[in-house]
Amino acid sequence: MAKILFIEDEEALQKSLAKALEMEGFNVIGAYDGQAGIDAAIKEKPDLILLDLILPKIDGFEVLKRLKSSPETKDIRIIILTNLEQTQSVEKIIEYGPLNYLVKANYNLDEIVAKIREVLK
Amino acid sequence: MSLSLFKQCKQYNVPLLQCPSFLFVVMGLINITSIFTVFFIAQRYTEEPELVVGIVIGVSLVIFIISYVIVGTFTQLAETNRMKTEFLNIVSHQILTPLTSEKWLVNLLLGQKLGALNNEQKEYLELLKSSNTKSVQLVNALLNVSRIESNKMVFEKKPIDLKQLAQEVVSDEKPAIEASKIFLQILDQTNGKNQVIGDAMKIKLVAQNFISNAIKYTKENGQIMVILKGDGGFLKFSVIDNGVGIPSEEKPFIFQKFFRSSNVMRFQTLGSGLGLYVSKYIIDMLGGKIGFESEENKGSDFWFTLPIAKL
Repeated sequence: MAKILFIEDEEALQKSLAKALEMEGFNVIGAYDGQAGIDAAIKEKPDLILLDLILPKIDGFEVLKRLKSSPETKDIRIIILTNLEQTQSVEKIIEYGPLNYLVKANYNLDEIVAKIREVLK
Repeated sequence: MSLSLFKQCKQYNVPLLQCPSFLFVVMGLINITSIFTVFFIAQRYTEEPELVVGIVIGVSLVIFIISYVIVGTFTQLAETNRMKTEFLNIVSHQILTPLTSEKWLVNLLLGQKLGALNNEQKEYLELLKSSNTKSVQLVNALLNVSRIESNKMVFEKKPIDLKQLAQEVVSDEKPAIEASKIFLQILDQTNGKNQVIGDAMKIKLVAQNFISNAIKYTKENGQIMVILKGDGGFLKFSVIDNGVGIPSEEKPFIFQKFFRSSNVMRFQTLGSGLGLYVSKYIIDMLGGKIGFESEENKGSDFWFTLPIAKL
């Protein structure tokens, strides 16, 4: 079963999405800040990372940069899951190629799960 | 005139001696009086040009100081405006986080995988869900205003199937349509040429505004028609209802920011007064036109056009 790393500092979001994914049979690992996210990515080698952009310790832009520049983690698929509109962050992430980018306030849980399935296919 | 001048200064929240419109009048008066004074003095003391020159320099100095104060206040007002836009942007983003938490938690409970819900629990959670959706829409509208004001709204220009987009919006609005027992129909009169160039998310927002307004202002058992048809190199998207219509004295203000029709109060509907303002900006930026025809108690026809995609 696919392993998903969810890097997000908001507890309610962590719990609700993790629960929804676990019930669909996914194995979910949660990380509550950028540093913990990077460590977990290296240790757990997930199939997919869900990444928020505004995070404590190391922000999501920096996490993205480090994941993409390390040979160990550069091939892991990533979905950016944030409330920052893409237009505000696009300049900072465009160099990492086309990324899946979801503004989380605009999506219901089942739509997020569907998107995750699509990316994992 | 002078009364409205004082009122305006009070609204700006600046002291009278820093209020641009007031100082402008003072400057004009000083100008006129001093020109006349100089004229008379110059006539009488023709053999003392130093005096005249002195007065002219003095008056110029006074005007210069007043102008300096005016410019200073304008700068301050512009800065305040910029801070307001930034504040709006920060607060809106902060509010989105808890709103997203609420949305997902409600989704989880309504999914009933944690346990079955009885009908009453389900009903209340559905109400919570719809109030959450409204909050998110309102915050998104505020974010759009702050983007418009700081010129930070970015547009994609891709081919979009307008008919499919209309169907998506209608399906999102289904609960409201059913609750008001409205008959809604999509008529495609484009002969298959229903692709336009634009930004899907933003055009969807405009279509959503038109359709949800039509639902709000149409009485029970009303009719709404969404019509797509070619119009030269453009595609016209119209939402026609047989609802309450718009009073003619309010027509000039429909696309203004924060304008809320008196109908809003009368029919007790929600609305921020931002939807059509944002819609007009979006359609203008995508190179289309936006407008409406409306008659009170007969109904309204809100439409926009966008350039047809050349396939």
